[in-house]
Amino acid sequence: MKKILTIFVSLSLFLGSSTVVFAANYGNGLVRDFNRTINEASRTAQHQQNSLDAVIKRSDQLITNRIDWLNKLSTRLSDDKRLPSDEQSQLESEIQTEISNLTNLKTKIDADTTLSTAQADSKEIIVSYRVYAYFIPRIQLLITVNNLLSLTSSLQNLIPNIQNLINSLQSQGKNVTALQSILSDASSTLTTINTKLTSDKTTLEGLSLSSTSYETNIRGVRSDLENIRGSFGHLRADLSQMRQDFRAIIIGNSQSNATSSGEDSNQPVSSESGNSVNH
Amino acid sequence: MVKLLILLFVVVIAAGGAYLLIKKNSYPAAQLSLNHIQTHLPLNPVPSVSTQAAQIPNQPLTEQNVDQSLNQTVNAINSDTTQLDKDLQSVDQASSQSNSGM
Repeated sequence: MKKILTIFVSLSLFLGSSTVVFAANYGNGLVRDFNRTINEASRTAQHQQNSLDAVIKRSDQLITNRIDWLNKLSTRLSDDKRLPSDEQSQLESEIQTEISNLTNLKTKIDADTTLSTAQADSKEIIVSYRVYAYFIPRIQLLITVNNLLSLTSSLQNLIPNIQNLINSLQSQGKNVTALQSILSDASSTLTTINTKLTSDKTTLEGLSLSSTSYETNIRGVRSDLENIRGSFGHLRADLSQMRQDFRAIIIGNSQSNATSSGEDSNQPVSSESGNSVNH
Repeated sequence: MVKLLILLFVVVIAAGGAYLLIKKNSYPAAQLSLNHIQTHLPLNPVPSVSTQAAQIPNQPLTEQNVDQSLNQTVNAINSDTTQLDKDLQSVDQASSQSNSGM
């Protein structure tokens, strides 16, 4: 009997302590699982916040870079003295609107609270503005084309003046064949330049961001300007050659006048005659 | 042999220390010199040609003024083609910026 009692008590003590240990371990496990879930949620939230901060930071940088470029373009425009004031105002207005829209987008992105919204807004910086691929090249090329049209117009006004002087020298019995030929070439080159520039201006003015071919058109105008640059080089060579021919004829005039009057009047035809001609 | 190794070690350490000391002292001087150059010799002292209007004379040409007028015209073309080069360069830079993703 004593033995049975001893076994019973021992068994009870063993089972009792096992239950306590099991309960304690089970409780600890539950607390651990709960803490793990809380920690994971916290880490996920922190990760989301970090990602959001990174998207906002990068977006701010993208917008700042674009606004810097637009400000440079604005300076280039305001420094230009040849653009008609109405065109200058129009282009400046476009630049300021672009800057203003980008600034508003930056404010919106800075206030975004979810990653998905910030990512969608960040995408807008590229796809809705195309500052580098469309806006800046279009405005920059428009300024350039307008400047060159202004130059071409001034050169075209010069052609009749040169023609009148050639006619005057011809009436004095001078040989102006070479001069006339160069002037015709220069005039023809100017007409070609003017036609291309006018067409390029129309192309640029008709461009819009929704146009699917804006990149092709911008590349086309850029390529035209490269060719026009070569044509201006040709024109410059024509003018330099004409300058030499005029000088030869006019100095010949002076010498023949001096000979006939018995005076030495072999003087330069102008105070600028010492200037070198840049080719 | 051991003495030789210790001597070599000391020499290497001394040489390294001397190099670091010289580098540390010479950098501010070089930077100062660069700052001085940048301050006193601006990279673009010449005003942009875009501020200049093309100087092509719009007057009747005579035997007296034709040389000067044509010279001015050639200079105006030079000026405008220089500006054209700068403008095309800006367009190219914008395009490459577009490709860089920034």
